[in-house]
Amino acid sequence: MAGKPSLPIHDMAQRHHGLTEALANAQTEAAGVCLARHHRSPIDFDLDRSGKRSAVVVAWQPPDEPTVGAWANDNDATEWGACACALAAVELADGMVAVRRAETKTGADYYIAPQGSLMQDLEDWLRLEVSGVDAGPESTVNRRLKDKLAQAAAGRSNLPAMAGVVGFKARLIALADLLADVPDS
Amino acid sequence: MSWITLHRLSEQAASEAQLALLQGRHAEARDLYAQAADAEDKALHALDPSKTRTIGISAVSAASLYYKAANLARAEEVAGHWLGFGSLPSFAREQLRGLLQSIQAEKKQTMEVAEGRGEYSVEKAPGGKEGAP
Repeated sequence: MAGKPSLPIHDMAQRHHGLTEALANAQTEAAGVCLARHHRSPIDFDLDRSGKRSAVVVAWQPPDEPTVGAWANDNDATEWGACACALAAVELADGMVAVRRAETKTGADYYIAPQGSLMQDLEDWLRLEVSGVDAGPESTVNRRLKDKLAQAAAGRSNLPAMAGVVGFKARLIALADLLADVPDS
Repeated sequence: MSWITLHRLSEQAASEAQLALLQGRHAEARDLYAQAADAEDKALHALDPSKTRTIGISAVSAASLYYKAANLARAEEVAGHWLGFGSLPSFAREQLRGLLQSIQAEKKQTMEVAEGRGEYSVEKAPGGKEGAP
């Protein structure tokens, strides 16, 4: 696996200022649990950025029994683990990091910006939509991404955004821009 | 304090709330969400009115945080107030309207329980289990 970049899922709070250390560590831990369900560390993943694929190496600390027990809720683990992997993929592919968190009714959005950006507001940055697929094949990952693109095209969101879908078993992380900036009121 | 400082305080409390919720500390999570909501609410008023996108994102955050803190009355008030802001972007308008619908549904459910006509679902209670970040 020499020469392939590593997916930067460790020490994420040091680079992603929109993540607290506790939250980043929990997401990384969840990612390890999800990855260990299907694979042994390290393993190659495909990183698909808008149709262009490259291989990345994903390495993690195998979770011990208490950690697996703490993440017994599969949905929680998949959601949190997908966040770590998607943010790490955005960092690797686009040089962007989570800079702000904003709440929604059912969860939270992350806003991403180029590393080192100075920001005083959220006027110019992208929202990242994350989705995780635990055991589904590559076709499920791609379908999930297409659904998000279709929603955006139908005008359900007019925020410029990027979608990241992580397939743990499929060993695929797919990133795509949801839409260009749309002038608003 | 500036929007960025207040928003940062809100983010910190909301992140701690999310972790508390994950670990089953529901009462603590609600308290933290309430702190986060108050900070975001203050942050909103520190914003320049020309920053319409940031106002939209921050208004949705504040109302959502009050909802997660189970303070439905304040969530409704904040959502209603910002829906009256003429320059609010449509994505925020849509999300605040959705939030108001959820609040109305919660209120109706609570009234039905009080009148002994319905069943109350813990999973659907504000401040309860939440979805993907």
